[in-house]
Amino acid sequence: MTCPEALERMDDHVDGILDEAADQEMELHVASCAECRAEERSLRALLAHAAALPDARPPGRDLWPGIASRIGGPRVGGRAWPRAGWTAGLAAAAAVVLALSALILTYRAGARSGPSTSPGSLVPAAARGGDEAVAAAEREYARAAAELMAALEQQRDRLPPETLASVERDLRSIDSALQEVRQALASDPANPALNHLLASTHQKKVQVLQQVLKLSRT
Amino acid sequence: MTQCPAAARGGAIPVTSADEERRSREAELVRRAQAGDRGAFEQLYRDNLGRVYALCFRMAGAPDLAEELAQDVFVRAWQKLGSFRGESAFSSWLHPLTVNVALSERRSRRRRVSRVMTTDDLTTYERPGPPARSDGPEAGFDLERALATLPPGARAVFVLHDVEGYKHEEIAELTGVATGTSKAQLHRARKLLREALTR
Repeated sequence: MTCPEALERMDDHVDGILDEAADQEMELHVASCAECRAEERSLRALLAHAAALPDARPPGRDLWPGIASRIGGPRVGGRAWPRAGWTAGLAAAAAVVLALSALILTYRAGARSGPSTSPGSLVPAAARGGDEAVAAAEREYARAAAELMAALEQQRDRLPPETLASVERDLRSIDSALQEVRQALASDPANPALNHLLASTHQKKVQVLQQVLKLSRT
Repeated sequence: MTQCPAAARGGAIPVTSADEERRSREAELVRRAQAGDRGAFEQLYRDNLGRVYALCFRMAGAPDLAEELAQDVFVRAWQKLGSFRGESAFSSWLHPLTVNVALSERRSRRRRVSRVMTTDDLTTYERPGPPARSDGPEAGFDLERALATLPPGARAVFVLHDVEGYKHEEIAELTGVATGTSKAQLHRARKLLREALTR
């Protein structure tokens, strides 16, 4: 056996996966070659270091607060999707659609009856920013919704078809509402009520997706 | 799913009454967590964090990323807790989950990197820098620091094979590469680490 051949087989040799004949041949070569013997020794030393690594090591900080905030409320138990859970999820989605419809109707009524300065109580401070802030917020909501949609897509198999159809119908309603608000904003970009409506519609969409996704995973 | 080799290695160890007591306590915590008790799940987290974090840290090569991965592991564990049947220790169930989370992150990072890099050649990655010296029993060699300087693919294979005890066939299945690629990555990792060891 030559040194290049021995070096090529060295990993398999120290891992003990060479067949018996090849392994014996390696042993003979290593016994007679100082260079390959040194190579074997350094490889075994490395493996000894790896084997001696502790099983556990603590992180630099407690990770539980971050985990707790992500796992949210209590699990609802069962291994399969509970029918009651679906009903609750759909009811929530339906309520969101109704609420959005009411908000849009309110906006339309307000738009017909007066100027674009809607009551301040409807407009959170965060929604009073400029076009750029609104655009950034909308991008952020769209990103969150896209991620949730992708996650929900992976859970499709766990959802009863009729439920999936209802969720998709409700999401289409929300998207349609978003489209209407955007169109209204195009002609009245400074309207605070519209900006508020846009933000809250996005927010509701994200909430619906989060809720459906969460329930699909329980 | 690929079994946890560490668990398989531990199969021949005689079960003591202390082990039984621990398993019984753990089973109760799992049962309560499956019923929605977050306090019980927090205890499971505290009992298993060290092992999960150690594996994430070695796979990721950076503490910040390892912390994120460890959090992802426990969030995923909470979501999948209903599928745990108690046929093995909770830590054994958590182990492949941890490996999968770490590998998934690596895959997505590789996708991001591939958008700005024009080569798949791992030899173009950096060589390991000089590892920090320590006063520990490893005669001044800090393997974990040296690991952090390896190319990600080589590091993952080294950790899975030489630290966690997976076989090349199992690594190939987990990572979606050929067995020969796994062997080549391991060879490269060992070579780079030994260079660091002798520096």
